[in-house]
Amino acid sequence: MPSLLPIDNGPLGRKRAAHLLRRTTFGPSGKDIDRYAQLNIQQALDQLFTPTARPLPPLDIATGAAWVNPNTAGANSPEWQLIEYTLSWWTDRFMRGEDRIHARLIWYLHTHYPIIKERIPRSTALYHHMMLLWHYALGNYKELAVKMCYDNAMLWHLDGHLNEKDRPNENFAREFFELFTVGKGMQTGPDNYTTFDENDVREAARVLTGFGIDQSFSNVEPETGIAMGILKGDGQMAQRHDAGIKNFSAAFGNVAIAPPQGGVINGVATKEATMQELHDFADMVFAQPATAAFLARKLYRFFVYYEISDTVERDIITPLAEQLINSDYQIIPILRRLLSSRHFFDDDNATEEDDVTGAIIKSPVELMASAIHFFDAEFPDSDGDLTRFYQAHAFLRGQMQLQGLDLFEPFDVNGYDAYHQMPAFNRNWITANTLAHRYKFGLDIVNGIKPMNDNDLIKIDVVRFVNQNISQPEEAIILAREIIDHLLPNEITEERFMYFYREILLDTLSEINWRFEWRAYKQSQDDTAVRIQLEKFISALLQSPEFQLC
Amino acid sequence: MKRRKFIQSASSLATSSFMLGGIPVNVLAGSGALQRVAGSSDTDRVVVLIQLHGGNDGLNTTVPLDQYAIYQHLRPNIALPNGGNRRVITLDHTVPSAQSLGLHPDMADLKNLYDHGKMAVVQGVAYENINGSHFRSRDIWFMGAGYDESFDSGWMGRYLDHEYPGFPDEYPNTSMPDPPAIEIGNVVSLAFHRANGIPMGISIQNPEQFYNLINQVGGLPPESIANSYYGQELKWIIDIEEKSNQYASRLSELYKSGKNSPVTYPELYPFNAPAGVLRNQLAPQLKMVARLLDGGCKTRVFLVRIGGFDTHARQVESFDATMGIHSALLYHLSSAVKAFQDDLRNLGLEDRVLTMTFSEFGRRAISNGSFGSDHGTSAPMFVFGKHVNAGIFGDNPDLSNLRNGNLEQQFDYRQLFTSALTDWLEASDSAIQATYFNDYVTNRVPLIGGRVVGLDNQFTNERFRLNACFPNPVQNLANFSFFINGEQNISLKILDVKGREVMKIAEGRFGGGEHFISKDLSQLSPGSYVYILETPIVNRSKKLVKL
Repeated sequence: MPSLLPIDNGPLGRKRAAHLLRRTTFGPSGKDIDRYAQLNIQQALDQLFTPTARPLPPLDIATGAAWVNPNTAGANSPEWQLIEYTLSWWTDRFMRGEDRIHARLIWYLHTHYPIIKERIPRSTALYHHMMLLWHYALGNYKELAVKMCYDNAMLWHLDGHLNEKDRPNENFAREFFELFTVGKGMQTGPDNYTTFDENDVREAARVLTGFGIDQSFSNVEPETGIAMGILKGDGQMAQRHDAGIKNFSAAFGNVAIAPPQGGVINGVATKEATMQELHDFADMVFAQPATAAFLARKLYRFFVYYEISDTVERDIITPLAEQLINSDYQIIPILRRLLSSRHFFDDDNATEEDDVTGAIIKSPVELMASAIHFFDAEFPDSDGDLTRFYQAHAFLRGQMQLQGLDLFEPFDVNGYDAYHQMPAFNRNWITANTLAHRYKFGLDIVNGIKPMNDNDLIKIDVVRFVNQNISQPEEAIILAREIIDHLLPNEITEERFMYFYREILLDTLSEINWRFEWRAYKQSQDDTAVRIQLEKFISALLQSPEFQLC
Repeated sequence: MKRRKFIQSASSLATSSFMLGGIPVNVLAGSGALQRVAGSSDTDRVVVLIQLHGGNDGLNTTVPLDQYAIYQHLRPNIALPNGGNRRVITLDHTVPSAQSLGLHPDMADLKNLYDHGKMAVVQGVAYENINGSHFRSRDIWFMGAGYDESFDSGWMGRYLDHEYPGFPDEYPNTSMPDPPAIEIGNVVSLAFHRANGIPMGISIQNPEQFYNLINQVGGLPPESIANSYYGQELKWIIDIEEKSNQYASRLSELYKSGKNSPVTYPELYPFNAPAGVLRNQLAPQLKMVARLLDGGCKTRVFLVRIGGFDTHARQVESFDATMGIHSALLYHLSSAVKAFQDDLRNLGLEDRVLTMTFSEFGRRAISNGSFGSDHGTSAPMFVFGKHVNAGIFGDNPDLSNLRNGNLEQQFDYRQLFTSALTDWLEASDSAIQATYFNDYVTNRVPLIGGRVVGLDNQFTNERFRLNACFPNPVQNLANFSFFINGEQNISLKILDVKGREVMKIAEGRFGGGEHFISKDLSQLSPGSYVYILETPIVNRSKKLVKL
């Protein structure tokens, strides 16, 4: 049966290390895998969960300086351009190949709190939203949910800034329940979704009335350093907040939420009382087992496998959900437990059929990042020419779109289909169109990507890669083995190996010929012959169905 | 991309040939093959589904004119005006007041289709206890389920799976060379999912570009696949890759050989709206469908989509409720469907295509404070086509009988889709059974039942009448009367037997309804004449004798 017990404490070995890293980073290099293979699971998790440093803010090409901090001089580029820069800045870390879980959790949180940039007119709001994801990725997911209720970008995205006393707008309240917290259970009758009902949506909207956008971005909270939205009103009073009593259904234990004693003056709630209501509301929602189970399932689907069987629900989801409530939604212990479990490593039974290794289809971000990092592709960084840096990212975002990921512009407020749309979930990444574009990227990155018709912006230098990473490059079979074993997510058959090795790499010639060609290159430094074969080989691997998986 | 080796060899080994109705048919080995020949209907009819994504505000699409004051009271900040230049368009002057509705002022093109007998409106469509979640509700529409049900497949997927058994392995083949369903865009909706395996539809954007792309990339896929979760995902990718390869060149050929007629498809909204909604997303999709059909595409179901209907805020502009996001979207829908229908007519395809709109839910009768509307319940659906049973089904929603500010349902959406399947696609009983729609057969909404037969368009004739003038024969004063279904420029004139105009009786803009005009004809020389009513929809004439 599926077990959350930890695996043995010996060194992970290559296979387990690779599986762990593929699921928790944006794709490891061969060296990352070999390094983690030496560690036991607890040491590996210690490394994996080490937080990354607070990133420096994005830079404007026009000034060479940051613009997002309040009270700094304005940027010179137009706002739409700055939004593009902010997106590039955000995805850049995914492409840099950190061997930690932090970046992947930021991506997870974005899929959980998807926002649509078209609705958010200010790059600075987007930046602070992204910083919230960074700040809480390894922290408390309940606190993050509270922050989302008055994050400027979210207030724009789901109309929260329009939600006022006497003129409620339910948009955010509904999605807060359905997408972010309790989730939607089976409908049992008119307007009743088990986990909440339509009246709860109305009452929640009332709790959430009165917040507004702070376009000066000066409401920086000391504990996070992040600029947040504000409560509308003068001085201490939350003028636009509904100070009445909000009554919730039996799904929430018939709790009533109202401003605390003394929190209402002449029918108007104080800001302090309003914030207290917000926290009471979060306490009520996060005390529900449904909230914990909803979160546990999302984490499971993100990190382990998209189908949740009855036994997985019972033996994995339920205990993790209990732990979430007991730990007050601190995320690290839950994830450590899941990622060290026998279930995660398919160590809980003898059958291979339910092996989850390699059974998740990579998102376009993971697909491209894993290729870039594994093969150490040339890719401009923000320390060099900023124009080229942003060009490279604009190209990648174009690719993501062709591959079915319109970054920060999902068609729906529930975000990208792969993370919620039953029954196919991550299979939604694969359609006739998107698959062809995924393969095309594998071809282009080897040939060199030059959208501006000048120097290659992004390119795998296959010869440099082999020289720096392969133990005995003149032995074709070792070369092929080392690359395939580290790159592809699961073992392949001998027949399949021979296809890549003999038909593609050797072009059906002998390994002696390869040795000869390699030595000739080493003597002459003319790499033409070996480069052609290596490019074909690596390009074929990147255009394989196997590489689509992680 | 290349095809799997074993498929290439298998097809030459396991194929047997036989004659069916004098035509040689290649059938791949497999249990489904014969069943397929026997089971699928041989109609060439097509359904085009237009998804209005986000929850369309039905009350501002079809305004209940019999309850206009209540309507305005419920949603004062977004109510469409019933007067002035941009007032709502009364759809039909012949229906009882309980059915009298006003189309959004930007839907003049749909009014035109209606008057030509090519449109039906079905009021109050939903399902019991409609779900307020976009996502769950959309899933329900796609699944063909009720509020308390959940399926791993979609209704179109189940129907097509029944019609084309053995998919995907035995397809394409001579009887079905094309994907059974095509979704324009980058995703394949739940609607086309089957219980197991890859969906019945494929998604494409531009067939020509797709063909060029697919020929550059890929390699040979693995020939053996592990029996594991990993193997299942691998197989999913490989199956889709194989279908893509098989359909890409065919669709590209169809696209290249197909053409559109000289109809102008709309591109931009001509009035005030935020920049994001100015461009018509729908028109190019419908244009491509017409072109593929003209090229000979045999695909049965097309799904196209227009987004942006989740109008919680700024549905209308604060200074003018007839302007803004929702207006632009309805204009796009209306103008694109009109262009599509005209294109089909010009291409000789009008007899084959039925088009339906749907949305996950309507919006609340009571507006919110942000010049918008929150999630609601039932909403109207539009059905278009030459063979549609034109008219209005159901009454206006009862605005005095709201539940939590929401409208009551009149029809279940499956009553409409069942009609599309049985009456249009000629689905058999077993196909309906497989679609899980058997409970909706007897009470299906009769969407099909063309009253447009040849040139005699009964529907239009009832709505554009030139009554007999009296007295006739006439000496001096003649009394003319006519009925037009909506405000338009008309002229009523008298022609001599050679067709020359000899007298104008009336000309200009007239409102919908009956009009009476008396005219002194004493100046006219005695003889036979024709009096003719000219309208943008139809011309009608009658004989007159002057004594």
